[in-house]
Amino acid sequence: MLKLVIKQLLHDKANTFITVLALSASIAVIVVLQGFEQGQYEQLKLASINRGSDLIAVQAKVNNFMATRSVIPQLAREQIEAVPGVKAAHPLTTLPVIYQYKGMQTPIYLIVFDTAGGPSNFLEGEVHNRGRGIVIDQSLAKKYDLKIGDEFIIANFAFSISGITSEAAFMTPFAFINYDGLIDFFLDSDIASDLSTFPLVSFLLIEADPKASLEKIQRTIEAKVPSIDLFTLTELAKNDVKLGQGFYKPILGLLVSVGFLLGSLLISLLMFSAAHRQQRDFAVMLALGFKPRHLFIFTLFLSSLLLLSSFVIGLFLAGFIGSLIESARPVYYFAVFHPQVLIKAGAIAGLFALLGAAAPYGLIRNSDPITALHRAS
Amino acid sequence: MKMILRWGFKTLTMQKAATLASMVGISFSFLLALFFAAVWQGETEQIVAYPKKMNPDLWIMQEGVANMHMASSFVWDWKGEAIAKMPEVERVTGFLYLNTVIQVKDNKLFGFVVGLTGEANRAGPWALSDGRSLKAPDEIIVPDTLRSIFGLTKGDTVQIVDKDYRVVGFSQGTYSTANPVFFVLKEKLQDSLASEGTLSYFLLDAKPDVDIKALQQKIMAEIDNINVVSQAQFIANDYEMATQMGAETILIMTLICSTLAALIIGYACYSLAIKKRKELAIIKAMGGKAHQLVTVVLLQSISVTLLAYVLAIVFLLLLSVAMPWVAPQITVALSLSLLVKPAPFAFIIAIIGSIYPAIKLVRLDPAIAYKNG
Repeated sequence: MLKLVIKQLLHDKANTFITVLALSASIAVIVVLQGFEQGQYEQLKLASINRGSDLIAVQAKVNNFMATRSVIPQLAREQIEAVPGVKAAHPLTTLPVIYQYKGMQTPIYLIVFDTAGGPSNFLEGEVHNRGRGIVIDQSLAKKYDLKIGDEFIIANFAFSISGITSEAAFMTPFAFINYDGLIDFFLDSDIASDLSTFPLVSFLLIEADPKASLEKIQRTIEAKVPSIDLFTLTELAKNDVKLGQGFYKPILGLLVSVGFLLGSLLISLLMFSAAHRQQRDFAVMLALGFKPRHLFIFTLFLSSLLLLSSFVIGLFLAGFIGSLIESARPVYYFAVFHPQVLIKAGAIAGLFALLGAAAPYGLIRNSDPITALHRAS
Repeated sequence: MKMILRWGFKTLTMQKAATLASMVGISFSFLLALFFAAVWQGETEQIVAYPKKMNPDLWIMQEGVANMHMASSFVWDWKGEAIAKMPEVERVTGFLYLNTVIQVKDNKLFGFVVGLTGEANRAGPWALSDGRSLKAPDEIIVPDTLRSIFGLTKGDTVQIVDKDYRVVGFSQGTYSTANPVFFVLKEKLQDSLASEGTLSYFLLDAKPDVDIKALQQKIMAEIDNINVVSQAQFIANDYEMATQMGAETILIMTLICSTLAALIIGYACYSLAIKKRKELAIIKAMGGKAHQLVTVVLLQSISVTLLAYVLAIVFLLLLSVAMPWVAPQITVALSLSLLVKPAPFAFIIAIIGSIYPAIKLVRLDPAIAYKNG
């Protein structure tokens, strides 16, 4: 049966080619959407994971790293560092700011670090934990044509670009400065008069002694410092992903559904048209003693082979589209080859194959051998 | 030529099922691109819904800030009081503003919180579908869409930063996936932000016949470290912030879906041509010119594509009507430009889709085609 199917596919190569191409495009649409969604979750996950610590302290009742405002009393750092088993508590501050340049504006997530939590996916340049240096995400560098050594002005305060990294989440690029820069920024920029409103410490990255029990440290800190809550970075990453799911899932889910409907229609249309063209062959096969279920298996093989090749091409097409968008706008990340995306896309392709076999079944079963042979003669 | 055209038309109408199936397939490709653009448009319009509804003469905020979406602004409250004393000013309404994660039951939302300075405030919700205005610091008014999404009812608790608030009212027109707007009194929010003595934005209503531009310059000259923006400019800034990322994504989606549509068109035309190979061979043998046959394929392709485009618009209209039931959290906005803009693109796709079948027709050898059937 498989031989017959392969012969059938090779018989009309142009038709097979255009069918595979159309199906590949349909699968690529779905994979691109799913890859985009998964990419957003991966970026959200890495936003906290990449800060690298055993535990992270946030303002009490706050349980996200991204898109939230956390203010920790400065005294908390001393209290935490006094807990046995804690090696250090590294401060980290996050500020949402809007960067304006060349008539464009971009929201930026400004991360202020001291001794830990700085840029982790460094592409070029240097990271300084003193001075007015700033490390910016590559998407900003590309969008505004900025390079190392250029000025980066926020609220009329000029930072100097010391490095380029690749870190963004929630469609927002990150920029990293140190506390020296933050204090200068607060004092020298236009926002000086409102200094008291800005958080100086948003998070504390807690580095534990490798021999100490994390659970014990966590219990002690939570009892001693009620103004904060503690999480592992993985827990915080999970919370951020959950936030992202609430944001992206409704829209992307609906778009994927429309894409799925489109793919279903497409495979049904293609297989039905193909069966219509081959109705005479099917009738002959029925006359030769093939049962309708054999012909169903034949179309199932046919659609499965078409879908298999379309799936592979569709994945690479989606990967190509994803990297095209990423290179144009690096703030986006398309996790096209993420296992979850592959599993979901594979399941959808399998469903398409079944639909493709089922769509022309009625037509095939009702093919009349006598009429067909009469036509053939 | 007339006869060939009639043949082309008949070919389409004689194979109604195949033509309709192709049309539906193409229309879904367009639908996907149009729907994506409509959702983005809807979200963008909702992002500026709050500032649009507030509609003051001037917006006052921290220097370096010029919009609201994704922004953060803090200005001492005395600056607002000083501006309110100016003779040209009718009223100044300040409010605290925060974009943050909001916990609704077990769900997390990214939302905008407006902290009002008093009850029945100028900066408050413009329409309530249920409930009442804020009276106590632990009360909150939430977008009414949250009722259908999360089954939120009056008395339920919503958490913002580290504080819990009790739902007392549901506001209309304040929901979008990107920025649902929540209203509270500023006291508790101020505690969470440790921002006593400051507000985020001031809405300025001028007295009648005041020169707004002159007033804007006067405030900028007299009060330090603030930015004063006209309503039109403020909306434009927010709109730009919301659209700049969307424009590229919409273009990419449109290109992907259009490629898909072109492939389906190509397939449909190719199928038609192959099925009618014998008839085409006769036409060619009877003196039908290649360019005439190509014209027929082109016209077939254009008519199927344009009909599919109209069908996509019909589907989109139906989908937008069904959205409040299917996915109430998604805002879809339709405009004439959104529907009409891609039409020339569809026309080009129709031409691209017919290229391959046209080449096949030009190369068709009548004798071989007739012999092979």
